[in-house]
Amino acid sequence: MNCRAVTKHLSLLLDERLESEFAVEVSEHLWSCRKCNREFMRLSRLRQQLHSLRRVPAPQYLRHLVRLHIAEAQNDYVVKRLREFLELRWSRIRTTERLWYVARFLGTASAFVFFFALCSAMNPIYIDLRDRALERGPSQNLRQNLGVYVLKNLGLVPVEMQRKPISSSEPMINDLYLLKFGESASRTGSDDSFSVFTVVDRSGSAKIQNVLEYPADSRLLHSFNHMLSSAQLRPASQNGRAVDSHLVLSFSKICVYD
Amino acid sequence: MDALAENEKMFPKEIALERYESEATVAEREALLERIRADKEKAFDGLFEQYHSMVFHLAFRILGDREEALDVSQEVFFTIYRKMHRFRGESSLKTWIFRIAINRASNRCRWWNRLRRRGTVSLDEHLGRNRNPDLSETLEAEGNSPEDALLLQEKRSEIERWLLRLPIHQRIAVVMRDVEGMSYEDIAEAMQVSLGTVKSRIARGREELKRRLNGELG
Repeated sequence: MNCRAVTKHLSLLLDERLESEFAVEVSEHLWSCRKCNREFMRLSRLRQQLHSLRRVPAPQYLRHLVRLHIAEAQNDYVVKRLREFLELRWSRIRTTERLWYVARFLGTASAFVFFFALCSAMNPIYIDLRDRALERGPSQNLRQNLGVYVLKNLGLVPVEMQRKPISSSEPMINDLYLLKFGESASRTGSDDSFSVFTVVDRSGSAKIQNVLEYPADSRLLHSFNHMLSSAQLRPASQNGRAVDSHLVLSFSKICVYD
Repeated sequence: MDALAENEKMFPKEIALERYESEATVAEREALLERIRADKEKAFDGLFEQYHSMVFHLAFRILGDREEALDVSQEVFFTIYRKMHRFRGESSLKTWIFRIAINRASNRCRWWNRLRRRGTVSLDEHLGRNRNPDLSETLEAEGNSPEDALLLQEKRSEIERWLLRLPIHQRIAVVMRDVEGMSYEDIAEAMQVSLGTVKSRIARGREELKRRLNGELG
C-alpha cells in the first residue's frame, strides 16, 4: 500500500470509519512509514484542537428576543393562519391528481369567462328596436340571440351569418320629366309605343343602352332620348351607397278622339 | 498508536448506539407531541432550555460573529416554535434542530456573499467593523503561565480564523464532526446529503486546515 492511497484514508481511519481489514492494512503502513505517521499525528492534533475550541455561551437575553419575535408574529396571527391554510390547501391540490386537474379546469374556465366578459364590455349588445320579437320582452330576445352573440364575441360567427340584410332601392325618375315628355309627345298621330333598356349610373345620369321595342315614329324615340340625357335620376342604392343600375322604360301613346 | 487510543476516549464507538437511536426517535416524537398537546409554551421552553446553547454555538462557528449567530438563533427557535408540532420523528430531535440551524446559517452566509459580489458590503468588513472583543476572550486564562495562555489563545484564534475561511459546506461538516462530535449519519441527515459526501467534506476540510495550520500542528 503506497503513501498516496493511505493519506486519502487517514481522516476515515481517525473516525474509525474504515472496514476492519482495510483499517489494519492502513495501520500497518503507518507503523512502517514515518511520513504518513507524522501526517496522521498532525491530523489527530488538529482534531483535538478543534474539539477544545471554547464553547461560546449564548447571551441571557436570547430567550427574551425569541419571545419578542414570537409575540410579533402572533400579532399577524389571522393573516398568517390564512396564508398557512391556503398554502396547505394548495399543496394538497398540487399533490392530488384529481384535484389538480379540477383546479386547472376551473382556472381555465375562469380565465375564459373573464376575457369573454371583457370582450362583451367592449362590444355591448344592441337590441334592434325594429325587431318585432322585442314585443315579447328584451330578456327573451336576448336569450334567443345569446348563442349568436357568444359566437360573435369569440369571432366564431359563420360568414353567412355575418352578412347583414341589404337595404336597397331602385333608380327613379322624377314624374315631372315624364310629364314634360308626355306633353311634348301629345300631337296628332297614331297610337305608338316603345320600350328602352336604360343604364343609370351612380351620379344619376341615364343613357339608353338598348331599344327593346322601336316606335313607328322615330321622332318619339329621339325626343325621349333628348329628355333622358338632360334628366337627373335618383340612382339605385344598396346599404346607403349609390350604385349603377338598369331601368326598363316603356312608353305607350294612345290617341283619344272626341 | 497513542493518537488512536486518545481518539477512542474522546469519541466512544457510536455503532452500537445506532439501533437504539432509531427506536428512541419514535419515542422522542411521541413525548414531544404529548408535551405540545398538554402545554405548547412549556414544551417550547423545554426545547429552548435544552438546545439554545448548542444552536447558538453552531451558528457562531459557522458564521464567526456573535450578532449574526444571535439573529440566526432567533430565526431557528422561531421556526421550531411554528413547526414543532410537525416533527415526524424520522431523525432525532437534535438532528432536526441542527438541520434547521444549518439551513438558516447557510442562507445567511449566501446573503452576505451576494452583498459582497454586488460590492456593497463584505462580511469581513462587517465583522471587522462590528466586532468587539468579548469579555470572556480577554479574561480567559488557561495554561500554567500567562505566556502559555497567550500562546493557547493565539493558536485558537488561528484555528478559528482558518475555520471561517473554509468553504461553507466543509466548515459545517468539520464543525459538526470535530466540534460538536456528531456521527457521520447524523451529519448526513442534518445536511441532507449522502454519507459519501459527508466523508468527502470532512476529509477535505481537515486537509485544508492541516495545510493552513502547518506550523501550529508541529
